[in-house]
Amino acid sequence: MWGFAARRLVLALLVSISVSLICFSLLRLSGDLARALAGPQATADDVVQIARTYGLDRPVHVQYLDWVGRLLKGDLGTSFFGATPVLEAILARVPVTLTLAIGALLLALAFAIPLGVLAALKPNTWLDRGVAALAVTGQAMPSFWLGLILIWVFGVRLRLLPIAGSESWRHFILPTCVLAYAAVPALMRLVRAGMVEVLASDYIRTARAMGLAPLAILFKYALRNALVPVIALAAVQLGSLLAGSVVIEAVFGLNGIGQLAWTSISRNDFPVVQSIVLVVSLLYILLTFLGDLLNAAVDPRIRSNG
Amino acid sequence: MTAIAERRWPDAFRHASLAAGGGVVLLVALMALLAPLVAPHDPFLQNLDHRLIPPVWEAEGRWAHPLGTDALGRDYLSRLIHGARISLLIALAVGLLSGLIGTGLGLAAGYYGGWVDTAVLFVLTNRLAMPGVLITLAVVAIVGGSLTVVILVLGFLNWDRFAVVVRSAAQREANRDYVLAASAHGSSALRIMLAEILPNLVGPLLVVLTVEMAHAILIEAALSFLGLGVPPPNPSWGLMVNEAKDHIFFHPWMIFIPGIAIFTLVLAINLVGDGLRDVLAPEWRP
Repeated sequence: MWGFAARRLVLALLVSISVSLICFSLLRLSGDLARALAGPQATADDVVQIARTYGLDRPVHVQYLDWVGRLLKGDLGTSFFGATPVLEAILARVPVTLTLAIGALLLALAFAIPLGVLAALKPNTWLDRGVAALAVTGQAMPSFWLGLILIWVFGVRLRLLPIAGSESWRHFILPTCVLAYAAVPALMRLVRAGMVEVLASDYIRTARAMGLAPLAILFKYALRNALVPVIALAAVQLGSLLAGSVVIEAVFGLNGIGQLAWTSISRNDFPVVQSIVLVVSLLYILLTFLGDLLNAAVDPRIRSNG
Repeated sequence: MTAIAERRWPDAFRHASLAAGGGVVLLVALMALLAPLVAPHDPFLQNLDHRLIPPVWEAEGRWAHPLGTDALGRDYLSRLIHGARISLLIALAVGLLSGLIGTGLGLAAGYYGGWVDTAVLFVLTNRLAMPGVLITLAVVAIVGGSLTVVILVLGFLNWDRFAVVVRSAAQREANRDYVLAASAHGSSALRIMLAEILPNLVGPLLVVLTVEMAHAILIEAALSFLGLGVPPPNPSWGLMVNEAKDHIFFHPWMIFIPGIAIFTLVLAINLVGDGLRDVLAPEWRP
């Protein structure tokens, strides 16, 4: 187990380093930062001046090492607009986005697990088809559009829920539902596939033959094993929910990391954009690492293969 | 008897969904190809005297504009028909580009194994760790939004599923007798990969292609909705939802119509993919 964890940790660190390199170079490869920052009316002198102010005139590897060095000290730089440290700006938005992503993941699991189990218990029936149809429509639904439709139904027509903002828990109901609906199909399919496989296995047949109560078999033996891969996917899904909240936060006017990313992107605030991409990537790497460890802790076969 | 009936019904349902999905995709493709002929008006023509006319099923609707007009008086049906071109072009171009990249990487990793496989897996892990939507938004914001930029960015980001599927399929095929025979016969590695292994992967590739095409349409719609995708005045369906969202109080139909178009096309492509998987290889059924 320790060997497995050590190998995964090394991989996670390597990926973190290369992701930081990609983050850094992506924004520099996509164009002349100083020129983009100076705006369309700037003269050549202005551009040189701006490049010097932000250290953009130094060699690229010096800029990178400088950036990483300050990163390790927890300094993500300052926004081009105003003097707020980027780290502070991001931390201030974390609660909103985390509430949204974790809420959506829990809601998605609350639907995906029972529905996946039901579909697996009655394979190839209309119940199974219905669950599959739910998954297919969930995958085809543009989330920003579903968000607007829910705003129209519950905010404009029924006047039950607020349509924008993040002041109270009621503001989170609609965006959480929209984000959860997008996460349900993949989780549900995995639960179903796992349950179908487990239910057909020898040890479940033995348990049945020994006359154990069907519900005890289902919960004590089958579900526990079928949920192993779901843990890893749930960790990965949390990462993509964090990234996917850009669109949802824009629709619902939620003041989270996604909103910060979007406003920073639209006004070319590169230090903020670069930091958000990096933070979300590192979080994703961390979550995948934890998911792998959790998986390996419950399933010895993974430890020997990884 | 009942057991057989229970089995037959869902199978019939699956083929019905393949037919329905294929039918819708064909219809949209025809609409896109013949857009200038079937669209009743010019999709870019503004008519400020005819702004915000509701669709025909509402009280003030007129047959001259069956789906109404937008805030600039442009015919909504014509914009919807021309918008199908953008969605399908994005789907095809992104599908092909990401398919080429992913298939190349997957074939090399699966056939050679060893350090090539390790390298490809490392690149794949990196790709999966990066938030695709954020990166796309950032690049589009810097380079400027256009159809080409969106296609290139999405194509270079969304090859991961192709690589995963092709890699494991190529690993399986690499030890089959026909590959060993070709290798013993003196065929080059490139020839073996392209002429021997690749033709056997057409089934899984087609299935992944449908998934990626559907995905590309949804992402382009989301980008254009955020105002960082296909620029106005193009009739991208996502952009149409963006332009309609300010009219949610009095003209919600403006939001419904393009959204239903996106949902229907993506659903149809997914149904085709599911159907293809069942026909080509029932054992991959989820």
